[in-house]
Amino acid sequence: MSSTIASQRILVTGAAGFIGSHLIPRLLERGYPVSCMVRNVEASSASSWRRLAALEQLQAQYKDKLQIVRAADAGALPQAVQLAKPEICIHLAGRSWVRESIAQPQQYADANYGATVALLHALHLSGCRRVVFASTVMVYGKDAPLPYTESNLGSAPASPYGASKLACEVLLNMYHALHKLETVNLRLFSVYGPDLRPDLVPYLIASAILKGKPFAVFGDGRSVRDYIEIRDVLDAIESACQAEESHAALNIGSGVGTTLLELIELLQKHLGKKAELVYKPAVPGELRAAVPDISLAREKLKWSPRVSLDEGMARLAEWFRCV
Amino acid sequence: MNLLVTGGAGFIGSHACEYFLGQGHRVTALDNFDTYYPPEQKRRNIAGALAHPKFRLVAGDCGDRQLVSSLLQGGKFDLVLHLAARAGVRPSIADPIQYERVNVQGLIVLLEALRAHGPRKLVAASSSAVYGDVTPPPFREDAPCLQPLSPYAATKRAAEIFLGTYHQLYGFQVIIVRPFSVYGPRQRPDMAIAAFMRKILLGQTVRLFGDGSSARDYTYVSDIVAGLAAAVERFPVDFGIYNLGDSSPVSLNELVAALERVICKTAKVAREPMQPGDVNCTCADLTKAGRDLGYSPRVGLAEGLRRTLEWVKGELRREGHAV
Repeated sequence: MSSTIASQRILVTGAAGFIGSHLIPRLLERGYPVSCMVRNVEASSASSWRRLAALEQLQAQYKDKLQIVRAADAGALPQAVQLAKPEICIHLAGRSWVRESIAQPQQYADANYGATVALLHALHLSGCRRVVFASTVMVYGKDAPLPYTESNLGSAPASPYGASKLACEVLLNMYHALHKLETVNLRLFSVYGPDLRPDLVPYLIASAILKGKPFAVFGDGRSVRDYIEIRDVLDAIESACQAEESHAALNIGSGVGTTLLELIELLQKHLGKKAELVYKPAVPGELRAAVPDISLAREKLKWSPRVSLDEGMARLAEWFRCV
Repeated sequence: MNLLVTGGAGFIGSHACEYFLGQGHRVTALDNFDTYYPPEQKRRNIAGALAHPKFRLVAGDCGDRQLVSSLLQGGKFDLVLHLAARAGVRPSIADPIQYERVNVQGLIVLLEALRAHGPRKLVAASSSAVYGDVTPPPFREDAPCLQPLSPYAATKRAAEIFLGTYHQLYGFQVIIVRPFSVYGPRQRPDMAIAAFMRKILLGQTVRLFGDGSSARDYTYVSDIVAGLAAAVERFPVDFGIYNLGDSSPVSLNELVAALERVICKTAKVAREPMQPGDVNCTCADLTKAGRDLGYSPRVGLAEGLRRTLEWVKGELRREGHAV
C-alpha cells in the first residue's frame, strides 16, 4: 500500500461497536491516521465502555495517529467532523437489532436515518471524498429472489431496521448524484467473530452450549443464513476505501449458505460439548434463506472471503473459552 | 367517512379538504402553519372550509407526539390523508436536516400514533422527485428509485420505504401517490407557474435555469385531488404506489410561451445555469393509476393556466397591485 493512500485520514463512526473495535487496530496497523467518532456511549452497553477504554489505550500507543472525537448528539456532529476533516468516512454507527427495531421504529428512524442525514451533511461541508457505509442484508425484502443480487431488492424491508438502512443507502446515492461524493454501500450479511454482539445467533448458541442450557430451535433448523467472519469484513471495508469504483452497493457475505443445524454442529465440535436443542414451532414469516451472490463485490473490490466457517467458528470458540 | 388530513391548509391539502367536505365526509385538518411560505396564505386557503360544519382545524405539527396521539384517540378517524411535508427541491440542498425532521421523523411519529390508536390506513403523498434523473421517462411506479437528486427527494423516498415496512410488518393499508409538478390556485409561491405569473404580470424578470429544454409534467390541482379522492374512496389494494401526473411534459421554453399567451404579455427573461438538484425531465406513466384508480387527467395546460391566472391576479389585486 502506497504512503499517499495511507496518509488519508479516515473517520470511523461506531468505533466502539463490534466491527469498529476490530477495524480501528487494523487501520492503524496499515498506517492510516484515524479519527474515531464516539457518541452516546453513556446510553449503550458495558461492552461499549470496555471498547472505549481499549481505544484510549490504543491512543496512548499511536499518539496523534489516533484521534478520538466526541459528539454528544447530532447537533455536535458538524463541529466534530470539521475537527477530524476526514478524506474517507467509514460509517458503522447505528442500532442494529431487528427485534428491537420492530418494537421501537422511532428510535431506529432517528438513530440510523436521522443521524446519517446529519453526518452526511457535515461530511459534505467538510470536504470528505468517500463514504463507506455499513448497510445490511436486511434491506432485502422477503420476496427478493435468491441468491440476493444487489439490483433486485424485492418489496420493502421487513423491519424498521432494514428500512432505516435502505433509506440511508438512498441518501448516500443522492449525495453521489448531487455532490459527486464517492459512496460504497456494503450490505453485510451475518458478521461474526470474537467479541460479537450477544444478540447474534452464534453467540446465543455458544453461550447456551457452554452454560449447559437448552437452545431453542424454531422450525426445523434448516433455515439458511450467510455467515461471514469479521476479518473478511475488514478486508472488504479496507478495499472499499481504496477501490476505483466510486459508487456501488455490494453484498458482503461468504456466498455460502449455512443451515442453523450446521452452525450448531460446528460450534459443538469446536467447543467440545453437545448442545441441548429444544424444537419449537417456526416463527411465522421468518425467512427460509438469506444468501447473497457476491460476484459484484469480488469484481469491484477485488476482494474474496478467505476464512472458512470451520476456521471462523474455531476462532470464535477459542474466544468463548477465554471470556 | 371521517378523515384526518395532515397539511390540510396547504396548497393541495386545502383543495382536498374542500373536495371531501363536498362529498359529505367529516374532515379534520392538521397543519403546523410552517413559515416556509407566508402562513397567511394557508389561512386564506382554508377560509372556505372553516365555514363548513363538518370541518375542524387543528393547528399543530404531525411530529408532535402528544398532540397527534390525543387527536387520534379522540378522533375515530377512518383514514388519514398524509400531505404534510417540507417541500421544495432547491432549499433542501442547504438544509437537509430540516427536511429529514419533517418528512421522515414527522411521518414516523404519525405512524407510531396510528399503530397505537388506529386507523392503520392511510393515503400518503410522495413526489415525482423520487425518480431522480436515472429513471427513463415515462416513469413507471416499479422503477427502483434508489438515486434521487435532492435531499427533498431522498426524504420522500425514505418515507415511502418506511411506509412499505409498516404495511408488511404492522398490517397498515397504504396507498402512496407521487404527484407530478402540481399547479393551480393556492400554489406555493416558490413554484414555477405561480411565481412566473406574478413576475410577468408585474413586469419583473423571470429567471430561467438551464437552456429551457428541461421539461416538467405539469398537473392541474383538481386532477391531483381527483386522484387522491379515488385512492381514498376506492382504496383498490392494501399497498400500492401510484403516479398522479399529466403524462405530457412541457419544456421550460414552452411553458414561458404558454404563459405569455395566456397573460397576453411578453416575459422579460434572464437565463441562468441549470440548478443542482433539478432533474431534466419528468413524465408520468399513468397506466397503473388509470387501471386501479380510474385516474385520467382532465385539465390541459392552457385551461389550467387560465384558472391559475385568475387566482394570481386576485392575489395581486388584494396586495394592492393594479393588474
